[in-house]
Amino acid sequence: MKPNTSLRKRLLVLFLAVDLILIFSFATGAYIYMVRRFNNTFNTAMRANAEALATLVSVEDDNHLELEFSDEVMSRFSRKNHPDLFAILARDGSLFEKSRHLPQLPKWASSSAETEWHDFLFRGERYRGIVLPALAAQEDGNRRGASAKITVIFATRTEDMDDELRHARNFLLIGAGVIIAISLLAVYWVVRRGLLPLKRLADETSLIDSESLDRRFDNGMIPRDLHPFTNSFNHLLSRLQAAFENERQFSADVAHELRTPVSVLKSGIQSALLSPPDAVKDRASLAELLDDVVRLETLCESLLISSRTDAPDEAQQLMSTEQVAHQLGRIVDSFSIRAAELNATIALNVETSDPHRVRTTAETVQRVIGNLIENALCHGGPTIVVSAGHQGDAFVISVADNGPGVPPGLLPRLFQRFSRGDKSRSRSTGGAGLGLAISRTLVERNGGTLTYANDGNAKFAWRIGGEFPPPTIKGTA
Amino acid sequence: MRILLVEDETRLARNIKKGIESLPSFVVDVCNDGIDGQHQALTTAYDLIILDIMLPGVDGMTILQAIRSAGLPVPVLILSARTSKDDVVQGLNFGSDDYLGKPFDMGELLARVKALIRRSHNKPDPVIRVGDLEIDTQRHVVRRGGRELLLPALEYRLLEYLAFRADQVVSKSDLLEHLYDYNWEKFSNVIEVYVSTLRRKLEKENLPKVIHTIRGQGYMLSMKPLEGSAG
Repeated sequence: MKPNTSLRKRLLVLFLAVDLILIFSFATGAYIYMVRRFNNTFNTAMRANAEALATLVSVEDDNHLELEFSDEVMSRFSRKNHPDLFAILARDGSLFEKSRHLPQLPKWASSSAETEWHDFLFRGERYRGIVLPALAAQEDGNRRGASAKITVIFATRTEDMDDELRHARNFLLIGAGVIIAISLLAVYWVVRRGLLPLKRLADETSLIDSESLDRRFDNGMIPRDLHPFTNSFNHLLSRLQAAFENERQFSADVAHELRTPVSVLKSGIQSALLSPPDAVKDRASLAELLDDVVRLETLCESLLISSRTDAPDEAQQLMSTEQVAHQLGRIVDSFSIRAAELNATIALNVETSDPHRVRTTAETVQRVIGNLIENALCHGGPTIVVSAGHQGDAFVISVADNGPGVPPGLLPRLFQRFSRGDKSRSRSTGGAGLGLAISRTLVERNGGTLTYANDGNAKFAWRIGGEFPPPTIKGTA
Repeated sequence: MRILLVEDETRLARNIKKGIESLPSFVVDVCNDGIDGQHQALTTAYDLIILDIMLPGVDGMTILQAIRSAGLPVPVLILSARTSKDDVVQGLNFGSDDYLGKPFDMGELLARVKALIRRSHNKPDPVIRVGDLEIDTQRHVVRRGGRELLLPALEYRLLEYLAFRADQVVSKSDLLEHLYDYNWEKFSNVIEVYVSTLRRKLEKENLPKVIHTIRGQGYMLSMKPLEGSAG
């Protein structure tokens, strides 16, 4: 059977195979039993006939045998069509008498010690013969003791028994055929009915679409054997619903985030069009509009990065810890002016080991650490410490500040897209709540982890995996 | 007419201010956060307030409730990026007069602003008639005695304000409050100068007086002859 053969067909074929074997065995058994039984009855009758023949033979005084057949008995042996046959042998094996139709004694018809049975053809018909030795012939009343033993050979046509057997066989064949036909229908019906719950399940499943993902199968209405299936299906539905909800929420968030810059852009263009034309003012308006477009572009870019999760080629790239240290230095430098404006300080504290290489890229370091420093500057305290070094089997870069830390209410969604602290502050800094989500995506893409902890300082730690041969540590600052 | 705009997105606020002030009827005060916005809304007599919902400090719904519980009748238009039916229904049920979703069309915003102000002064017709004086608030032109007058913005704004409150006495301080935004240095004699200019233009050729000075109280636009009016 092919793997995609229908369950109904499988069950039908299997049921029928079993059915055929059972019916065939039964019919064969019944036939064999009948053959035995008929033969037994037939043989018993033949033996009785042969014994009855012996009673018709009597021993005369001079040790002569005498045969006294009545006409009625005679007619069985003398009739033209399928006559019965007989032969009587004397003790010494000499032929005493035989029926008229028997032209000569068959070879097997000799005096033997045991009763023998022989099937043979006579005039084109099937006959069965019995050789019954050592029968006592009828004795004359006066001559006791002078008993004579004779062998009686009797044969008769087996046609009647054969007919009976043929009828029985036909009956069994037809019966089996009828039973097979009936069971075929019955099995078809049973299988159909048995598979009905599956069909109902399929019908119910086909009704589920994106609008009705909250539907679940009620196990109380479904056969117990299907529960593993419905359970895992319900589980699948739950996950699907969650994913769908997530996606829907994300789309709504994206639309909402895009609305504001689009509003700004649209109102800017319309208000510029409302005022009378003025080359200088129009140029200024265009410059502002360009700013708006750039903001929109940045938002789109961020959205794209946050939704892109597969970049297998990057996962294999390695970077020496020296290079990471160098990159960190550049990032911290680039924030120095911003930090000075905000009266904040950024300290860098790096420990590298020469042969060690970590699984990341300069661009990722730039984005992730840049974002973390940006967050620390906007939301955190004035003293920011960027440190990097080995911890256990990983290289860890952390950004800590002595600010108030992440509000507890925000913690569960800290790394989700569009989660922000106080709206006013992030809005004024232009953030859309995508930075940490993007950072985590980038970090996990390279097999690392990004976690937040507050041990007095608000600290984000990025654990990076890589190749770490035995260390020869040297410090740099 | 003086409008308060509470919107934290500074660029958007600037654009809206620019758009609305392109009409001679309006001046716009802008607040970029909820705290300022609430303070301004409760302490200054505005002709209309445009409110964003998601604001830093105090959110728009809270400001709206504060305005209504202070018993201020000022029309409020909510301008929000939240455009679901529930948000709109909630905004209107909390006492706003209109709700517009972002991104919006500037033309629509201006039309709604004008409609809200007409309604709040019980003047549904965009052309205000005081006797034979017609002020077309749609085209911003004035007609009297078969002649069409194009007035400079401030003169038009002054006349339109008086027209919306026709047959009522409008004090000089009222005028100062409603015709200038808060950046204006207030000199009360500015009003007198504009009123006399308007009179010169409107009461030419012995046409009957239309702007009356009520001594010690203010001005009134009316065609009804008044006892003891001077000018």
